[in-house]
Amino acid sequence: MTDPIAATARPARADDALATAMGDGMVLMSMDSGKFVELNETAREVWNLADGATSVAAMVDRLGELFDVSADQCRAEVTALLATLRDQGLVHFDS
Amino acid sequence: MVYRSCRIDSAIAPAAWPCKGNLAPSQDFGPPLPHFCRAYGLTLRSDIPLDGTLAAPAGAFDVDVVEGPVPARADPVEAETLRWTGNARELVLHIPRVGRFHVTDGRRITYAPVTPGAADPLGLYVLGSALGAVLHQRGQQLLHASCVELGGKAVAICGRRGAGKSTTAAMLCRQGARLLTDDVAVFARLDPPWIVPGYPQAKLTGEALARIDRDPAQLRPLHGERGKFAVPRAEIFVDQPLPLHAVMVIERSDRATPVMARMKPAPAIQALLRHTYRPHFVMPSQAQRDFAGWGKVVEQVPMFELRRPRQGDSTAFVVSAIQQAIATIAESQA
Repeated sequence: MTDPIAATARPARADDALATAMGDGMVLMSMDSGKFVELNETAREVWNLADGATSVAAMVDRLGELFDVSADQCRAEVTALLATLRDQGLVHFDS
Repeated sequence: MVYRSCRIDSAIAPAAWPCKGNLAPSQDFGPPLPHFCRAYGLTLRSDIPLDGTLAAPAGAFDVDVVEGPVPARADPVEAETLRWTGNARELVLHIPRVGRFHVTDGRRITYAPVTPGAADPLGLYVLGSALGAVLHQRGQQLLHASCVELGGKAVAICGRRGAGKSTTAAMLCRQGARLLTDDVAVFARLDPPWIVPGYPQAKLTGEALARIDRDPAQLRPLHGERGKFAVPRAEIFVDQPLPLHAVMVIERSDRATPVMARMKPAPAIQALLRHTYRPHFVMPSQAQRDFAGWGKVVEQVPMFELRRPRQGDSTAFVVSAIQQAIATIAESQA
């Protein structure tokens, strides 16, 4: 359905994304679409790492250091989250 | 209003004076005395009276309201509609048949009336949209809500036009609550959230007036708000900022029975954005600050959604549901 996300891709937070801390997580909103996304503690780390310079592979390594998760599961979940954020217009890939 | 149309009594005016018609007094007698008043935590100095506000001593002020030239557009234009152009520091607003307003730096409202000397609806727009722009420029969070004091804390009641905010607030006040603000809830601070007092006046429909035993014949109908009256509420007004206890969001629903539910964070932020006062005056460059501000509110203040049927009278349910929710929160915090 949507394009797969390569391990070398460098996701960046969209300029029109609004973010606010909520407990351990975050709430995001796209000003463009008005869509809301809630992030839990781990998803919040992905969001914070989406600086346009960090690759997906580097994100997965970093999250593996922070959380008790297998590399395969981490890669699958990070990729799925980034795909959702991309579809909501909250991150983009300029690679 | 009265002094702007003051005429010289013909009985005492010398016959030789040419008739100048209904001139502004500034041209005859020098500048009019400014009015000093308070609303939403700000002291205003205004050359037109602002009906319903609290009087303030002459002296220091936060916002100056003066008649004067208004530019055609804001410069630069960061956002615009047919009625206004703006950026984070400046807004130019056109109100058809009333006048144009120029709000700058969160400190000054300059107005140019369509009809010189016609102060009546002008003051309403100064206290409404123009002051809303002032407060947005000052970086404050604004909610289109009535606020009452219950148990020493503020309860904000928001909803679309016709949801019953003011009526609910009036009924709560009839049962012992006091009025903090009728139309706009302005946050004094966010850590923790506090609400500043508005001014001691409510906008109520004839139906709401009947509920609190007031006679509309004694009251002034409001310009641009059909069927609503300006009701002085000094006797139940709380003139001090209060910590925010809870936010109630009233929605009309197709269900036959009213229900109340605690809101989750994302829908709660969504509701606060939906019920922001003059939301379009939050410029794109201010949107992140505003959004994070609502996030802080939702993190600290419980929010409830009250769905009431479109048909029938559910006022009693809404009032008692709010009272019960506040009592429950107070118990859990005790």
